[in-house]
Amino acid sequence: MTRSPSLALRLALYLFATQVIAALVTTLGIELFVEDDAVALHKNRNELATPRINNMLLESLRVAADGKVFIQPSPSLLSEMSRNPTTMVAAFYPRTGEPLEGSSPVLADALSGMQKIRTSHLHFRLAEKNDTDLVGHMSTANTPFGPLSLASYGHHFEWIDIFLSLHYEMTTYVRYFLLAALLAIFVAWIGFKRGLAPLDKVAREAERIDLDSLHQRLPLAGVPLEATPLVFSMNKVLERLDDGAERQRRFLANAAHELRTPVAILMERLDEAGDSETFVKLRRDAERIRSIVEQLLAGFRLERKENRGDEKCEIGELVETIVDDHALLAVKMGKGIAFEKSDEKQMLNVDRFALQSVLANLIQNALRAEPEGGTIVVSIENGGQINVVDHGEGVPEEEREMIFEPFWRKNPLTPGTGLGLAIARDLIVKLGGAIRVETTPGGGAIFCLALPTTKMSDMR
Amino acid sequence: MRILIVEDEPEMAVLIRRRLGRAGFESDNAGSIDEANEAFRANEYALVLLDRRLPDGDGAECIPAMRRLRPNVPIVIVSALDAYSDRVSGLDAGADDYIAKPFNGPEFLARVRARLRQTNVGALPPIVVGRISYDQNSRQILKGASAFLLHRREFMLLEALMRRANRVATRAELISAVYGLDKAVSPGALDTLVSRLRKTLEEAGADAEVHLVRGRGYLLTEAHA
Repeated sequence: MTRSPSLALRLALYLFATQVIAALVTTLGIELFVEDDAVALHKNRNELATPRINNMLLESLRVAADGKVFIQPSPSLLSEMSRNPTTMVAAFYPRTGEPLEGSSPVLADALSGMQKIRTSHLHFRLAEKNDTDLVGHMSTANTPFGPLSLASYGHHFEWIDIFLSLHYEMTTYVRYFLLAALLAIFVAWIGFKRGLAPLDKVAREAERIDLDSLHQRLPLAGVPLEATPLVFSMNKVLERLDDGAERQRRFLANAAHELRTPVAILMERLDEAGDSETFVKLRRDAERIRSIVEQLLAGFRLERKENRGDEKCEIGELVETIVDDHALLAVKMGKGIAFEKSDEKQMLNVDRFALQSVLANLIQNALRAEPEGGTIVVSIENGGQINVVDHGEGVPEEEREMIFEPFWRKNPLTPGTGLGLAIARDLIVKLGGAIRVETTPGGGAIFCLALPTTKMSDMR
Repeated sequence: MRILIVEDEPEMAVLIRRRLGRAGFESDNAGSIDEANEAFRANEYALVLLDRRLPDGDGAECIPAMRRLRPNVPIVIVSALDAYSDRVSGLDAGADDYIAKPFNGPEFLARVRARLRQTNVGALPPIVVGRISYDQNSRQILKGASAFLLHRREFMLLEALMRRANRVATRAELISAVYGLDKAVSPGALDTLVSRLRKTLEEAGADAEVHLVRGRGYLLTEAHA
């Protein structure tokens, strides 16, 4: 299963991205579009070049032997100044307002009037310059040479400045918007988790629904509006499944009636017909049809828990009934049937009719395999295993697993075993038991049924 | 002795009537709940065999009205619906017994007879195996038209076997029928008695055989052709 994306996480990421973009757009927008005073300091793209020039100025700071800091234009600053001759830089000791050596005299002179105040940063325009595109900026920064006020003027915009300026703005303003962004993410996360919590309840309810509780519906109460179509359509699915299950119930009742009635008629007719060899064989065949029909119906029935007729029964009594039912058939076939059991009573919690239909199948198979004059034995071992023993040809070792496969054939030309063993095993497995075949000493097959049992002494 | 068969499948109804006829019972057939109620009002029946699935509803719906009219008439459901819940609902509706279709013929007859014996409604028809017949009312065994003379124990054994004709009579049942409940019986006594009865039956040409079902008991049936 691939991991599903978390909606809360996704929303948080979206919010975070939105905040970042909003911050970028806002800072850039202020620079470019907001006209905030009469001198139009902003809305001037040359303003964006300030961080770049500032960086060049920082690169150009040197310290002299006497400890004085001075400006010696770096190659990049020099080339910038030669490209844009209006560019000027200056630096001051913030405490004294004294300009550093190498500062532009014009700029140093213009800003010397600021000596009486200390500025964190200042946007300005030189009054005597009429070129309205040119702007200046001064800010106090911690440099490797101590705090210095760095000023620049007359710089020109280049495309790279958009990014440098954004970088500068973002590093400056990140602390303001980061808190807001984190708060928004946190609120979105909590809101989502809380809003979707009712779906957990729906999921738990849905998990409880199985074939036997298809009539249940998932609760819509508290489910957020956005998720109701899902719950609603799940309920529709349940409705359709429930209808299907109801149809299956009706089918089962109909099938039971439609299949058993002709078998009942067939068996009654054969009972009337007498005891000639042909009719005895036909009766035996009819019994097989009956037991296969019964097993099929029991198989359908056991699909649903509510249809299971589990009851406490004593294995001995249950097996005796089915042995007695086959005694007359055995006699008419010229064979015998015997029953053996230990004295111990063993209880079984089982759908009696399903188990009896399997036993009937095994007994009929054994009667068919048993040579004329022989006697099949139905026995119950200590521990509750039921054995049906015949003295026929037996089942070769290599076929013992395969005879329980549906439609298994020894080779493509021979007909299927016709023993109904696939159905028998299916039923026994549904009843929680197991079936296997062994060899009778002296020849023949033993079909063994094991079911979970309770000893009589264990019962209260 | 008349039995009402409520069964909408005509072929099934005919076959059940014939089976009951062979066992000496007269019967009528009703194909629906309405017909069944009408027949039950018009005639005195000793027993009702009731199908569940009828064209006008669930046969079990007949039971309350029939019970009100004649509380002592046993009602046995004979139905292809045999899920556990079907049986429970049938018996809850007031039926005395529930036989699933397809049924085992001798078992079916035995259960009908058992119901009738319990209610004491009148003379039961004789049970016939081969050439011997057993009159349940006078407790006489006839071979052909004349009395079949047997030693006392052989008679009691044959009587018990006849009552369960074509079905297994368990050793316990046979011992209690022949020797009574509280008498200590040697393990081989019953088998010796059975051998004697077999010989008697064969010598008399009764056309009936006693078969051993080891671990269970004995089974009396018509002689195999």
